[in-house]
Amino acid sequence: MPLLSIRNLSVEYRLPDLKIAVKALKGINIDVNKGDIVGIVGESGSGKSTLALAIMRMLKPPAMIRSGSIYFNDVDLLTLSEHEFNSKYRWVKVSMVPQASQNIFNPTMRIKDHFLDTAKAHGITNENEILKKAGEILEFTKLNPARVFNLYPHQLSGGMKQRVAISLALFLNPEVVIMDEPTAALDVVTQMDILNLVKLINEKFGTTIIFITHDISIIPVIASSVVVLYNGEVMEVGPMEDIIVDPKHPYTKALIQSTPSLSSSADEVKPIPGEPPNPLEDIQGCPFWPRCPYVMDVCKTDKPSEYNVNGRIVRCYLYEK
Amino acid sequence: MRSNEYLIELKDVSVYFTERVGLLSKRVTKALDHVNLRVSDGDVIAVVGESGAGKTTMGRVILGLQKPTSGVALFRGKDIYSLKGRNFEEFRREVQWVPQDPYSSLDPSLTIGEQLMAPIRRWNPKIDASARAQELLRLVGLVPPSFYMNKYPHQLSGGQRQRIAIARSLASNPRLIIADEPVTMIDSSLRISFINTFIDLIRIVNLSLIFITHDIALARILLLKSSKGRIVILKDGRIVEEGDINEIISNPKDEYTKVLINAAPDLKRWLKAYGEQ
Repeated sequence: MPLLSIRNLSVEYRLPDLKIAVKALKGINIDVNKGDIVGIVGESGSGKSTLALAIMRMLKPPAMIRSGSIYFNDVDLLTLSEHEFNSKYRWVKVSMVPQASQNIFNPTMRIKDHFLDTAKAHGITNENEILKKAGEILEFTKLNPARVFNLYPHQLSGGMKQRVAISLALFLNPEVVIMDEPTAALDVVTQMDILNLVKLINEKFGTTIIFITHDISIIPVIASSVVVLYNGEVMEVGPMEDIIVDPKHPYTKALIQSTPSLSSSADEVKPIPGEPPNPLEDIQGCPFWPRCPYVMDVCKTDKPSEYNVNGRIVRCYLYEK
Repeated sequence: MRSNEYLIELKDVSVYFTERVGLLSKRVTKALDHVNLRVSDGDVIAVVGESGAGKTTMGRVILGLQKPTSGVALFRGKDIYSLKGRNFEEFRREVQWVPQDPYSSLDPSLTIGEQLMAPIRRWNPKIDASARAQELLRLVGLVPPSFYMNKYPHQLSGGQRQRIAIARSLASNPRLIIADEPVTMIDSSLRISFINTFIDLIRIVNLSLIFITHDIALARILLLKSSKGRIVILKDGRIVEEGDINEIISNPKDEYTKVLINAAPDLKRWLKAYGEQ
């Protein structure tokens, strides 16, 4: 049984001025197994961050959950009261390293105060105990607590801030940590250090990681399984090796083909034709059909269901049986 | 070659930023540290380095926006920072830039047509600005151009906006474009189509390009497609390596270049290693 199971989740952003609702997630199903590092790949507007915020129950109006369930073990997190969710789940069982975590800190608070704040919000009051534990975690992320504790956020480099953000997420020993583009603003050398740190956390503590990224080239470095999102829908789900070596969905194929490597020839890297979908426009049928080289008539009218292809889920009529 | 035959030449250029720390002490950041660079007409140069390496500062020095602390920056043999009158006009006309963020670089209150026609009129009052604006839109792959002329930036996607920013940089018929991380904010599936657009511009309007990026794999594709470019690797304000991209990747001389190459995520390298297992 999966540790975290997202069923038929739909999220909308209601824009009253425009009298429309932008559908950010459209009935998605994702299972996260214990101990996995699930890479969630998608381009801007695909619903990656909305998904993270929905799991954390941190969506605010105009966003609203239209339907669906998020099961943690057997408990539907969306049915709990805010008090129960906050005391038993948020940060306790599921925590998060938010996007652009260089900007998540309070600029007027020292790093140690961020830990005290987090701990106190969850009822831990013994400051010595808090700082002792925070120090151990910071050391694990290869920071020097004696030095970092007394610094203000602006005194840290991007890589150091990311390590502190990860330490804060680990503070209550959660079972699942959601990381939203944790390396997007970092240079490649620091990115590799952070990816190695994430793997170490997963190995050492058995922490399940949901790793959100727009960059499919880092997926083999980090993930054990992959979910490909496009325009608020799941396109393909499967083990990392299967998806990278033999992508089935035309979008996954095209995404891999558009990613340059240091050894690719000039002609083998190809952009995906067309434009990314406009979130204000509803696309009938499969959201990828306007850009898909294999498009058939049925793709333009009907949504493909989840086809099982050798243990993998592919939502594409090419795999209809 | 005489120095005034270079389009741009940086001679021993340093840019130091001095910050006051406390009452008496100062901290000096060496954004550029004794940099030499020669740009000839038709050159394609990819400037690669991590954040803080001095890439943007180098671009700003060449654009005439950041006076060097020491050393000189020359435009066709003349010091950019003492250009006056007609000479400065010529420099401005010939050297333009494409900024990183298409969400903040366009004027939200002007239609695409208006923001393209203003610089066209500024540089060439005699021509039909509307026709020229449409020609520029076509050059950057926005067809049909009439569809875009009356749109406002907020009605376009990030990729379309960045194409507008490129079109606008061409309004003065420049010889050199400095593109500072022009695809960093663009979806990865579209980045290569921007590389193709730059390659078209290099060929069709005989443009020189300085392409600033942190992505060495993308820089490599640009240089392979242009077939005449070179890479410049910046680290802590210094050029640590410069030359042919394939040679540098297969035989990096500098330690930092090696680190950069090994840290760059690489699907193909991974697939090859996976196949050999």
